[in-house]
Amino acid sequence: MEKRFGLSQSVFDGYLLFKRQRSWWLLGDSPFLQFASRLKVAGVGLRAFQRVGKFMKPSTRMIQMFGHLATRAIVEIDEAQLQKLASGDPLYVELDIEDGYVILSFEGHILGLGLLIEGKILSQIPRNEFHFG
Amino acid sequence: MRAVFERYREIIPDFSSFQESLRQSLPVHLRVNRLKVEPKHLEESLKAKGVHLQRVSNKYDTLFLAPDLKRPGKLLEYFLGYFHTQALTSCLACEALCPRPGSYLLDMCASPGGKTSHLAQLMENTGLIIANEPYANRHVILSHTLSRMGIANTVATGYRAEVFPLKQRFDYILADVPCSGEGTFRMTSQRSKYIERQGKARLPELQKRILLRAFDLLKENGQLIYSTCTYNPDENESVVDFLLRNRNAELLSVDPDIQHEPGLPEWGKVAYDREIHRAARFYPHQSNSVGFFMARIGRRG
Repeated sequence: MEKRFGLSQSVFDGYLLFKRQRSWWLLGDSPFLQFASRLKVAGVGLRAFQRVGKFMKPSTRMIQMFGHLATRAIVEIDEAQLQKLASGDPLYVELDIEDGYVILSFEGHILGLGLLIEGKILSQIPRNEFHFG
Repeated sequence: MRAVFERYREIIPDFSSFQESLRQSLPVHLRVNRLKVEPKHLEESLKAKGVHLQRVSNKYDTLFLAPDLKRPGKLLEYFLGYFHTQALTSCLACEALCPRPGSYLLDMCASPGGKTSHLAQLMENTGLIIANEPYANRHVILSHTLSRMGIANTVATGYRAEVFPLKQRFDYILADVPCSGEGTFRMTSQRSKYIERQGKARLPELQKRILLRAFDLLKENGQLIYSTCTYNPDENESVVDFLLRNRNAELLSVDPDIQHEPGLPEWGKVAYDREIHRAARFYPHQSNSVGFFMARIGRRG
């Protein structure tokens, strides 16, 4: 996160990460967790990362939460580009950023992640959520 | 046209206006998610899209009427978790509980997560919420709502509410229990007749057991809200009265800034505890929202 987005580890101070299968879940640290640990838990916090092949992909919701603190690999898009991505089409761009995940921002709102490969950005935001009429 | 809920004619003030309100569609209210955006910024953003928000009260700066809001799921602001569409009266239960940041809270019947996320917002995403949802098939929508709203202080469990483990005590508890849902009924083109939910007669017994368990899970200075979206006194005042007769509990005032009526003094020739008047009943023709009941409860002394 630090190398790609400039998000230092200190951003996650006060949070704990729980691993379950291929996902990591973020939960605010609290003295009450010792009591909660005695319960049969069905879900914890917010999904923050998911293993995709060799990589750890940050989740849309985690990026929405912390993306405003990022200092690198942020791509600002306009309305036409937003509609294009939401339709599932790629964006063709010329950017001085290495291939990999980029943070998509629209009018100052952090949307989620895109995947930049050889001048093409594909939205990584779940299609069933990312649609605007 | 035949009146609906005729059995409540004597307890619902201005019964004809109440009937008239049931012929109107449910109004659209929304709650601004202050964890992600300030209310005035959302107001400006939605105004630019032709959606004009009307604040419901000076007391609640995140609760709005949104009469122009037709398809909220199609808005960018919805996707970003900036707001949640939610019945005004159901928001009042969380406002009345008013949990402090950093506290320990149990939401006994949490799905679909509107109230849970509201409580998390009031706690500023700190402390810990146990979001209990007895029905496994409702965990997905609970998780989705909490995720969209950016809630990171919540752990989900799946116990039957009436047997939630007594291993710990909570600062705050919300017992928004399964009920007959009379308060959600509106006469639309598809429905002109209220059809009783199956198993309605068994509900009060379940509700009493949930409320007893909720009370037993409270810390010494803890507070709990018991709430339903029904008009039925058997599911409302009778249940709270049962608690007062079986536990050292007291009713606290709720003081919502929306027109409401006090808890009933009696029903079916049964007189309730005098403290029941501190509960609140909400009717659609007064509150312009879903019919609702709530009582705030603490340990006596």
